[in-house]
Amino acid sequence: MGFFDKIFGKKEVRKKKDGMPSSPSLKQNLDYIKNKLKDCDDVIYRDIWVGENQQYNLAIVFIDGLVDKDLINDHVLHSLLLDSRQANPSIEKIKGNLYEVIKKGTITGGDIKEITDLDKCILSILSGDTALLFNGSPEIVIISSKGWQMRSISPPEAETVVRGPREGFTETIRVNTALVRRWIRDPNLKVKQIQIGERTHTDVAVLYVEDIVDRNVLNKVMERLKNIKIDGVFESGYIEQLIEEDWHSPFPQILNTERPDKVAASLLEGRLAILTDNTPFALIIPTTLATLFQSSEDYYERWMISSLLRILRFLAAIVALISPAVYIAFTAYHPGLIPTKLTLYVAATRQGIPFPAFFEALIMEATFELLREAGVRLPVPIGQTIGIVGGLIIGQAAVQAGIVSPLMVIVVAVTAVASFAIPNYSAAIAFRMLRFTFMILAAVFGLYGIMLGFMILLTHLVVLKSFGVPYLSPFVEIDISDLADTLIKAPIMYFKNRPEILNTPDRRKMRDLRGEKIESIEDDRRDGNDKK
Amino acid sequence: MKKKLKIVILWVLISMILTGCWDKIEIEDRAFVMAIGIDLSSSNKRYVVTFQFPNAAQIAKGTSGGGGGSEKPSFAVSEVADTIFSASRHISTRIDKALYLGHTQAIIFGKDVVENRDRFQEVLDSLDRSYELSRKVYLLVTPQKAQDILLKKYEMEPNTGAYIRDIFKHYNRTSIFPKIDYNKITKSFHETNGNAIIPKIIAGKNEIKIAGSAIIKDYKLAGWMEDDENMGYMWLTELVKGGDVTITVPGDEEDIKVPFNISNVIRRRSVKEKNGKIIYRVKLDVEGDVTEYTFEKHGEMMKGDLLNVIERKTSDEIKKMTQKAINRFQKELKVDMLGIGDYIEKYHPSLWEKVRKDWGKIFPEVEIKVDVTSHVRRIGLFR
Repeated sequence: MGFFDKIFGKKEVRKKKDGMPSSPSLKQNLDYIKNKLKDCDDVIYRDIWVGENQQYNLAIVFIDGLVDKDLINDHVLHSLLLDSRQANPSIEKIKGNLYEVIKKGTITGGDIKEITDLDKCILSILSGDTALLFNGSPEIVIISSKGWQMRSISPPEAETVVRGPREGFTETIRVNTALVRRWIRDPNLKVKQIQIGERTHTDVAVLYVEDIVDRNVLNKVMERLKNIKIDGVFESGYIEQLIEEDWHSPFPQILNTERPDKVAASLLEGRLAILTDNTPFALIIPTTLATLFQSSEDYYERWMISSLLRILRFLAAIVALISPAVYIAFTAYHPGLIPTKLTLYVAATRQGIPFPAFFEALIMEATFELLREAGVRLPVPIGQTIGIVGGLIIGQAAVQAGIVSPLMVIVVAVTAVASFAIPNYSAAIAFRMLRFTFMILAAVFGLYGIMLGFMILLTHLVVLKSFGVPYLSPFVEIDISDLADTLIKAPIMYFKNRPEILNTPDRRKMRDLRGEKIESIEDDRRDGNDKK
Repeated sequence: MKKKLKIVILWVLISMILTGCWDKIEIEDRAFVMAIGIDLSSSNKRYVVTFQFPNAAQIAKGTSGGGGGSEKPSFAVSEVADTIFSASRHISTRIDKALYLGHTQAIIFGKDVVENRDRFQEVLDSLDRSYELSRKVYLLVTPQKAQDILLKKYEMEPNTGAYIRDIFKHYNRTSIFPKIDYNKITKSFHETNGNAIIPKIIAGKNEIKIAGSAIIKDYKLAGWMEDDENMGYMWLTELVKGGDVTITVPGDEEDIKVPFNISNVIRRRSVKEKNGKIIYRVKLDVEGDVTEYTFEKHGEMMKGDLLNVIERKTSDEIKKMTQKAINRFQKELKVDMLGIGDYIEKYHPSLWEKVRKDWGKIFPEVEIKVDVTSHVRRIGLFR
């Protein structure tokens, strides 16, 4: 793991700066904050006088735009300035004790905490909290008032399903953790939150179910997360790339999803999830090759169609991987392996094509990738135009001009469709990339090259691990019960235990009472009939 | 890490330089030979090899719906050479494509080739060594010149190789020619030391016909088998389980011809040694349908009598055919093509030990008894 040594291994862990303790003087505290937040014009400072004779000096600090202004008005300012007068406590009580009184008796905001560290205070302000500073006491009350403009919950666009919940994660971590909580109302569901990024201080939450998750994996994940020293974390992709085990591999070793139901189901299987602030994509750890082919809909539909779709997806992956390569190998090296009539047809359609099969395939595949990339970048209405121009016109024109053979267009189209049948986008990318390697191998060695490629690929997959779990499991260590959820999706009765590979302390997932209950209903009916 | 990378790069380079691409020929640069004809030149010393392959450009036009009737649908090129191999090399000086034999469907021998033992053995060796040829190729013998068959264009299917293959597909409609491919023929040559049956092909003006077969004895043409013999031979050797036999049943005024369509033949064999003589018994259980009779008399078919007559006559007819084949092989040619020696070797090894040495002399003396029982399973449909 030279990579990890490079990033984490160096012992020169930066000495943690001790925070600046706050002083009893409001002015001093404010000066410190103002100094730190110099030239930050979106910071709002508000001085308040409270007390019968307006003798107590307070200040609130927050950032405009990050806070819920209604909350500050109603539950902080209103409470302090107006409501407190209606139920004014005796002066003796207030004396020297203003902070306690206000904290416990005046502020009506729900989530408050107190700190005595000015640096932490500034961090809170920057996160969208409101700081309430007192003259005469060093404690600072932090009122949670995060309330910025955010996208509402909308269907997950990258992972749509026909049957299943329509809600996807949003960009706000608090909403996302709440979405997962709504699925699992178990006190054992833990949400461990840390901040990563020396400048961004991005909230990252690790979710797991305590009595299911494998402690080793959890410890490894926490350790790697804590060792990340980077200025900023944008998108969970940063975290994924910083904690994955093998950065050489084209395959994603951490699954990403924007579906809360998928995260919840994974948590119950014994995996753990990482939610990152500012992105709707959650990470699921550990990931195996088989999980890349699972769609959450597989579990909602009945098992037969799910199994069929699973098989179809695996076939699609193979097609996406090798079909242009097989075309090249067959036409250039092994025409004897194709049925005679097809051979003659292929030879006929390739008459007069100026390029060898490999370049023909390369041109078409590259064109397709180009169209796809252009289609993603362009705005939606123009994107469709590109699809028509690219797909129909270029394809048709290329064939008519005799630059590519019609069969090649079919091969490319089938490959493209197949690569989109893989539910996980990152996995689809991996297969699309490897396709070019296989094409080169086929162009140089024929079918022998394709076999070589498969052997190398398989060797790599067998060695690859995701947080200690072999990437090819459960195919590598044959475990019948785990195989029930790979190439096929067995009926739900077969999922009595959690996956063996995940090494969960609590193995039992389901106690199957189905059979007994159904029988008992029939017995009841029979008894009833007898009585009649 | 760097060392590993170096090894990988080295490995890729070595494999690219030492292996890749040397046998790469794009599919459109190949000529897919569908049929090969082999004749001897007039001096009987040189070969005339004819390769027939379809015109790929013409196929493309046909599929895209264009016209192009003027172009030839297939080409046939002949080359005279000392050996088959040199013929396939020399021919490349005359065609723009690389000959590819992987899709060859049929190889036709002219009569003069099979009549000359040395030449025929040379040809067989050449075929045996060709790495491209499939073992599913059909070998055929023609009493004419193979060149004549391949140089013609037949309207039904200009691609003669495909034409021959398609005829072989429904061999069991008639059973008058054996479905024997290269694999079975070479096996037969190896096992019986130079004896084999090879289907016969003849060409008409605008069509070809595969019927009967050539008997090769000791790598040399020994005679031709006609339709009846062929059928008898194929039933005796279980090469076919179908075919049709026509029998005559006495009608009101004239005899009625009844076709008996054989759907299954079950063969049971046994060998006994009695007083130093070997008795080989074959029992054929024939099942089939009567598909035609005569108008308005279907009712008679339901009666047992008529069925018995039909069954008996069918048995006789089949027995006659098998007898013809037996006579031909046992009495005339004295070649054990009926698989008797093979059967004894496999099921009666102790007996085989005794007779193996001079099986050639013993075989003509073997008493072959054929029992045929026929069963009418269906009497056909009528509306």
